[in-house]
Amino acid sequence: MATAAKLSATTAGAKRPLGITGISALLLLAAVALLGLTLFRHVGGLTGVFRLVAVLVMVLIALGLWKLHNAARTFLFFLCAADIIGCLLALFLYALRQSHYRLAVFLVVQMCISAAFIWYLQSEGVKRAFQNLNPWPTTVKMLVLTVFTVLLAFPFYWMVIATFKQNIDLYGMENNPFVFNLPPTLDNLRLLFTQTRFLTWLTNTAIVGGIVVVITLLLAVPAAYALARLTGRWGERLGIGIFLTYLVPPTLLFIPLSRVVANLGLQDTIWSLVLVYPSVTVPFSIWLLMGFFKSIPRELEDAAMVDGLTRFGAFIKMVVPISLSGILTVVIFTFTLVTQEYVYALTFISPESQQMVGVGIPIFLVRGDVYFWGSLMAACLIASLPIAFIYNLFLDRFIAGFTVGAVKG
Amino acid sequence: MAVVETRKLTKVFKQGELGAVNEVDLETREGEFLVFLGPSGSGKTTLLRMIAGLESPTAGEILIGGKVVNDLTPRERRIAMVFQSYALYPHLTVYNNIVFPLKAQKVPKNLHKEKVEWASSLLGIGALLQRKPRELSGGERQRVALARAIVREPSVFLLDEPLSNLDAKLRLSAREELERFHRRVGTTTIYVTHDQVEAMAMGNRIMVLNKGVVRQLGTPKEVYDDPADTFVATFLGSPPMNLMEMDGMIVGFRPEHFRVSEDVKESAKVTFKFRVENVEYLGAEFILAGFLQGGKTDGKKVIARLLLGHSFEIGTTYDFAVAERHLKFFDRTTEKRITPRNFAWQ
Amino acid sequence: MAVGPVAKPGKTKFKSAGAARSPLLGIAMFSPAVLYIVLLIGLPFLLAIFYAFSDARIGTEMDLAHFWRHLVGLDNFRSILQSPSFRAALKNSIIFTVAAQVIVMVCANILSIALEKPFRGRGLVRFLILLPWVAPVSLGTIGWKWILDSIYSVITWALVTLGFVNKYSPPMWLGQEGLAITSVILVHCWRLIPFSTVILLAGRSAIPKEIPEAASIDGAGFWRTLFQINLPIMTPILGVAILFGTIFTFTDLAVVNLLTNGGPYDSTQTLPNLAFNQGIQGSDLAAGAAISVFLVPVLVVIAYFMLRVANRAEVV
Repeated sequence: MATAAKLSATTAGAKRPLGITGISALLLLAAVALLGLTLFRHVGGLTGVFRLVAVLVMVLIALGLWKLHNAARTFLFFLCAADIIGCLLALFLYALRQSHYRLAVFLVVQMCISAAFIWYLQSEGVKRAFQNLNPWPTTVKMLVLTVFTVLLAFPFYWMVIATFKQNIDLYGMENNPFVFNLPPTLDNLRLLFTQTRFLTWLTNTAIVGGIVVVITLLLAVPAAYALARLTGRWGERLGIGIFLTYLVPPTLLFIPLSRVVANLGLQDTIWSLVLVYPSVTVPFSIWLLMGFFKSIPRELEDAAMVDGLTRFGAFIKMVVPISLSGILTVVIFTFTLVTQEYVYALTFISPESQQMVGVGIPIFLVRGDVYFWGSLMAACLIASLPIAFIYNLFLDRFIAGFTVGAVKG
Repeated sequence: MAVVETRKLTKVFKQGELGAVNEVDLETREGEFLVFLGPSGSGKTTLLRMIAGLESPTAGEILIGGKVVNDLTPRERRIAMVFQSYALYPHLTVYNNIVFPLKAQKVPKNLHKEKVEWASSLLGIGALLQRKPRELSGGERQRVALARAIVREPSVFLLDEPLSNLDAKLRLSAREELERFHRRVGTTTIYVTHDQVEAMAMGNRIMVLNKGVVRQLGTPKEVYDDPADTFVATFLGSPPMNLMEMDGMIVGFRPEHFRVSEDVKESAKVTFKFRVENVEYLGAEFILAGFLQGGKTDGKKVIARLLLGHSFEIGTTYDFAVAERHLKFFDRTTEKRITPRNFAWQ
Repeated sequence: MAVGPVAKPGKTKFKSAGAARSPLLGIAMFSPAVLYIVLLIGLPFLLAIFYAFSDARIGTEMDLAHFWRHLVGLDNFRSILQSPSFRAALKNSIIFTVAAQVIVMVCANILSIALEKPFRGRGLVRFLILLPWVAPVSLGTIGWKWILDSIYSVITWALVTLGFVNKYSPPMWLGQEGLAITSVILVHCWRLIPFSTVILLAGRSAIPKEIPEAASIDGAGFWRTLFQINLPIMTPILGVAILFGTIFTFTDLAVVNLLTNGGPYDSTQTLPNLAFNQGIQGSDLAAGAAISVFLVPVLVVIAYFMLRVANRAEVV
């Protein structure tokens, strides 16, 4: 106990380098100054929010540095590194090209300040005070993550903004597309829900999704169990065969299937999709569930059968309840596949009122050559985010399904 | 060959909590086989990993060959390590596993073959060079791991419980091989284990650790016959030492020293009435469990370990004794060993 | 030790899992699924091949009882092989797939290394990074259609503001040949990087921690450990990621159809899109089938490699 107390005293105060105290103090002063400026000049809107966030960040870093938390030092390191990279890009790609020499000088000065910070933060004395940790790997990691996250997620940020932007703002070529130049509006949403068939498409998709989920479960659960338990070597071969059918793409089968669907009289109805979608969902579901069932020890069913159940009874009463999480995974997977599907929905269904949401939005919200972009973005957002959210929660299981063959645990 | 030294070495994982390793001072001798012995969580592996450079210490210094190495990466410390799972590269052949450190350290190519052959002949694995790790048995994998370690001619060997993954039969022969290997090569070796039998059999010296603190550092004889505190006393030896609290002290004696009274030839001995509750016949010896009767020690549970020669009945009380020189005394609060005092037993 | 009487099971018909296979029950349990798959995948597959050799059209009745009357031999293949659209589609399908895979593998590896060790906010970062994959493909593509619009493109705006581009002659991201090809490839990458990253993450975390530690003690630095130890051990996982990525790109319809529909002038035409244009919109089922039949060889190759990968796991 005494040792522990002594240690926390050391890390908290005794070894703090003078420079760190200085930087801390500087940051706190700057934060206070910025806060004052923002409040007294009544800077509102988005700029005000950004400024307040900056104040918060500065205060947190100042406190973290004072307490010798390495996270604060690394974050400051990262900010300076990002600053240098940004300034270099701005310098060579813009300021020098456009001969903005004053701007160029400003950028160079800023780079020097950041470089000085970096040099100081990784100097021997400071490094020792922060338990000898090297900030470079984390900084590089953070830079990589920032770049990729921005590149991958900015379309969705864009969708959110476009959803709430007034049309004049949206189509004004001079306006910064990333912020609201005019106040946001709900008009696009209103248009979407009242003047288009969006709700119908959502309903259609939900109905088809629900029924296909049930069909998939009815087909895949018993099959996966049978293959996992009861049929020995043939079972393995059959299992691989079923997985291979997953590789047969809709873009190969859609032509003959369109004919089959027409001949059955299901053309232009959602029932065509109810019939065909399980062909996409069942193979992979069987594969997923097979892996799942295999991991349930046989002794459980043996015990149930010793207690008097038949094999099938053991399956229904013992195995299925235990496998609920695997079954839930299949449900989610099936549902997301139904909402994502494009080829069959496009091929089998023409009339607007029968269409799914994944095809309705691109095809019908584009009237003639006039794109209602605001509403379009709103529709995309509403139809994607909930699915994205749920899919994300279950992603680890899906990945386990994909990689089951390749990584033997 | 070098001496490993640590000065007040400490590792704290979570600020405010007790450290995994607390102010450990140690100094190996050149060429010795030093064992870090302790239960899981005692900090022995953390200590080893800090010496290797895989964890950075919170405080304290590590010296190898007289030089402070805190800021050096593992590769710069000229140490070699054998992990519990051996960590052989599964996609490389045995030959490529062994040559890998040479490549990584930019040893000239023309020396590679020679060095690999030297290391593999030292461990008798010349015939296995083209196999992959998954084709090898546990014992063979250990030898490959050792070959990979020694091919760089390191100054220190670090071994992290390399025998725990082997089954019992294999463990004995693998242990012998390790001892033979050390005798032949003579490099300073630090060996981590929780098995006190291994420690006693293999170590030149044993460092007993618990909760990140060194309890005792000494030869096997020293830690067994002269334990520094009750933890060392009960951790070494199976069954563990009998301890009982008396008169503000803790008194202990080992089960093998608790014998039938007439077999204890010394005149300076303490006698007890021992009521046997359980008899285990192990073929070469008996393990008796029971309670002392009468006097200050009435009701205390004691275990005895005897060679054959007598027969015992459950429920009967016998006369047992312990020679006075076999009694150990420990302070009740600090649990550390104190000099024997005369006091009355009855 | 008292031993109770042996309980007699009520139904003496049960068999223990070890001794018996209950073949009848097993067959009953998987036949519905197998039947469905045969009917809705197997048969259409054969039908597609049949159509490729026939004169099927939307609207004309096919007399299947006398199906041989519809066979036209290799006529369909002859005509599509002569069509420049088809040659462009075949070339593009391959180029897009290969280019996308290369970019995706490099980026996914970098990202998976960055995401390997836990840190605060990793869940949120993962969610954001995954959005391109988990959102429905058509909707994400529509988003990009706006972002790459000739007039209103966000990217154009940024370039104009920075002074790179003259605002009176903005780049036609989806209208100029070279740019259109790049755009399609980029959207495919955008969708696939999250998927491959997560797969590679799973592969990375399966490498036992002691192996990179041993490499570090042996003297290997970051790059040597990455290229000589980690990546080779991850080969099966890399294989899985590449194979699935190839399927998703090669057989994709949505991205091309919505972004460019094959234009301009077939420069972004792909096999699936061409099959859709000619087969469904052009009512020429036979031609559409013949085009999509060309997907099969690639899929067979992929299936073969999948099976090889599934048999090689190297974690000792």
